[in-house]
Amino acid sequence: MTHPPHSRPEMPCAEFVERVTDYLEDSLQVDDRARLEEHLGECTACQLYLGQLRQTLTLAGQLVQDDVSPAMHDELLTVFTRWRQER
Amino acid sequence: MNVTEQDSSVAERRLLERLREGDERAFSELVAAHTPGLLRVARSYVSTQSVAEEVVQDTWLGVLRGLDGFEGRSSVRTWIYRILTNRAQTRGAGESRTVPFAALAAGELSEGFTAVEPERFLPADHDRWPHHWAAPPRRWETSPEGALAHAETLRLIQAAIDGLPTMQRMVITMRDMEGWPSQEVCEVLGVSVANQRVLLHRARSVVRNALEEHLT
Repeated sequence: MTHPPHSRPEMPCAEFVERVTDYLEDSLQVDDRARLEEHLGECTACQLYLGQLRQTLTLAGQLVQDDVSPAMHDELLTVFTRWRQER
Repeated sequence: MNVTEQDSSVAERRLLERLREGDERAFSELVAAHTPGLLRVARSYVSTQSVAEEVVQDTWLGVLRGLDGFEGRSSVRTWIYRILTNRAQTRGAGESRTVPFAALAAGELSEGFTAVEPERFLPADHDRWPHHWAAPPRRWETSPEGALAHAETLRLIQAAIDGLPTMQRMVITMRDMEGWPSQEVCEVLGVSVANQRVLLHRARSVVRNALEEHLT
């Protein structure tokens, strides 16, 4: 692929998958961000990749958080009572 | 810091005030708010659930004993989690793991890594599309949000996270499972913003690959 002299070098897919976290973290240089977005606009495979990555982190946020077991809660209250007596 | 964070930090400081006065309900509230997250972060570092529980219990004792020394230079949460990571590392020393987090991170990052297997891209000398997909990502057949597949998908994600190197596991736990901002993760773990980002990148890439493997 050839580019007119003013144009930025194109971002290939292999680079996209390595920079996508920097993109999501908003830590790309302005130029690289533009290259990435340009690539994303044209590449359905990378759009799919990004969508899957976003889905992955949304799902990770849905992992169930266990409540504190009653036994542990009791133990913690014992810790607290002992501490209050120590003071 | 946004308004909600500010509000919650004011509320937590009030809670600490009441705790200093020996208010048991204040303790219960703090415990309820933070213990599940503390357990998960502890579990991402130590080897068993029971050790994680001991570390968390130890952390709360540390919180109570450290109350008078807390000057409010960090958020209450950051302070509590720093106590946790100290305790976890001390405990980890018993499990023969004494390396500081930053060194552990450097070790992990010195390993080579590609987000996707290099074979899935066309070679550098390809005449038209060098480094573009040869084997593009496959569409996930089951929608991971579908009710039936959901529990299984979450189990896969947990298994993939469990298999990560320690620092990647800790970072993805705090960032994506607990939803922390990067700055706070860096403060608690003592790693640079750049390293935190690379650890997160590796962790997320591995988990996505695991899902692609199972959902296509």
